[in-house]
Amino acid sequence: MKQFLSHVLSQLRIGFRDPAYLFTSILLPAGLYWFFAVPESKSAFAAKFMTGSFCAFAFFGIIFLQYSINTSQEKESAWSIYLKTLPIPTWVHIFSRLIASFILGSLACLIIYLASLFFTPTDLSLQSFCKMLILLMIGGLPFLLMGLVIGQAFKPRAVVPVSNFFHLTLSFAGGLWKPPEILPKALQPITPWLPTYHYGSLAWSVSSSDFSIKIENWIYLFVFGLVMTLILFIQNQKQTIQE
Amino acid sequence: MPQSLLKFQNVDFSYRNTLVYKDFNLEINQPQFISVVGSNGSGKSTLLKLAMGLLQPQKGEVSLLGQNPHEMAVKAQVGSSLQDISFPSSERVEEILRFISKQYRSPLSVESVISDFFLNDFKNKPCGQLSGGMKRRLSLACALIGNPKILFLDEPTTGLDQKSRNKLLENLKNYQSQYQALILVISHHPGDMIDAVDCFFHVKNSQVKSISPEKMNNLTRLKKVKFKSHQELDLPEALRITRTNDTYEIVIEKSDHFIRDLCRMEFPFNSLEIEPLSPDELIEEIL
Repeated sequence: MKQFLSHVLSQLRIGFRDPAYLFTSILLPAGLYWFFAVPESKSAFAAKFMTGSFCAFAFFGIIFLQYSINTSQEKESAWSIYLKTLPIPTWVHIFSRLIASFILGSLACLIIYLASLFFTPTDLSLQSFCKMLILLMIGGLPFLLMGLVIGQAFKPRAVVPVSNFFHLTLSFAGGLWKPPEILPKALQPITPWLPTYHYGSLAWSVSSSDFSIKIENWIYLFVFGLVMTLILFIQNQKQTIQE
Repeated sequence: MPQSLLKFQNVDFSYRNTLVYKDFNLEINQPQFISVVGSNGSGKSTLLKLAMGLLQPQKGEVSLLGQNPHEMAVKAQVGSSLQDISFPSSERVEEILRFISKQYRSPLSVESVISDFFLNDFKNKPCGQLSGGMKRRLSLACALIGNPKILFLDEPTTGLDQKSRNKLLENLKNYQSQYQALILVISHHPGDMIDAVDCFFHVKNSQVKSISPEKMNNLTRLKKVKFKSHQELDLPEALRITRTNDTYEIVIEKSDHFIRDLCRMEFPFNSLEIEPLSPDELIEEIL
């Protein structure tokens, strides 16, 4: 446990001391929320919906980018190679990062939630907000796998733009910035097929009484996670053969 | 029979198409301080990486303390400082050491390691602001903090001044005798290691030859003397004489005596240069 906590704390310290990371992961979603969502939050329903959307956007970004960028950079980092020589079980590496991203993701969502309380007519209770966070943590696991896939596939120089491209396009097309109904007509048929739409549905289910979690949302995210696991497996096989 | 500390058994290893080890065998049963020497590309760093499990042999077996190097129980008894070092730039020196110490069951105290490696003045400094020499010292402190039974150090003196090098080797020697550890050090400066190590291992063509510190000491006294002259020179005490056109290159132990003799003989020469042998040349002389 001492070992696990030391990893979580180290991840958090590194995250909090990196202004670029703090800005893009924690402050940017709140800024975008203030810019795009607050003007649209004219009713309590709309306010809760937009809060859910941007919390999903923030959480997705933190989990996905944490794994994609770090996985790619670790391939060439002397520090990561050194860590492999230490008596650290693999689960400590993976889960400490997950817990750190859950903490950072929750912080990003908390800022959005506080902003919604100050600037919108929301009536989202703290209890519902916490329930939403738990759903976003569980539903975010397939994006961890997606981050690993992208991180394995791209070199450190390429991984940042590629990850940002996936983060932003999937967020927009999945309805995390604007409700799916008001997305461009050409995009609307694709939206229900995107993992971010189903992820957003988890947040919308709590933030609005008009939405409920459908079993399809979980099934879709589960299958998406399975596909990512399969790709990861193939990537690892190829890597072993190359070595 | 004592448990083998490090064992390579019929190991084959190659990087893509470059063969590094073929049917390589090595066994170390006693804790000792060993310096691994060899020319560039002879596979010294590969040897350490294979021993630590960072590389997998294509054939054969590597064992540490009688087990697979990947076992957590084995890793818990190994410390290392690799050739390339980096630390998270925002983490402070003391934070790095506390983090590493928490990965081991019975580590040395962070304060004592900070003091042993002269890191007191920098302990609150972010790693991104450390010089190469300071990073090297921190890396060595990280290698020792877990109180390991086996230490692998790849060029640990790189970037250190002479005083720090001597102090480091003294610390390592004390550590080795106090904890009965096996220390394997790759070094490009065998001369620095003579007083510290129990023996030198020379690696070439998948063979390891043991060289005593005394023999290495004799070899490091050798100097390379270069000069130009049109006259023939016969020099029985020279280890090696090469002459290209009018340029002589002589490897000799007592270079000052030799120059004095040349002057006494009124031997005509110019463009005199005297220099110690490079590590690679030293290795050639060993062979």
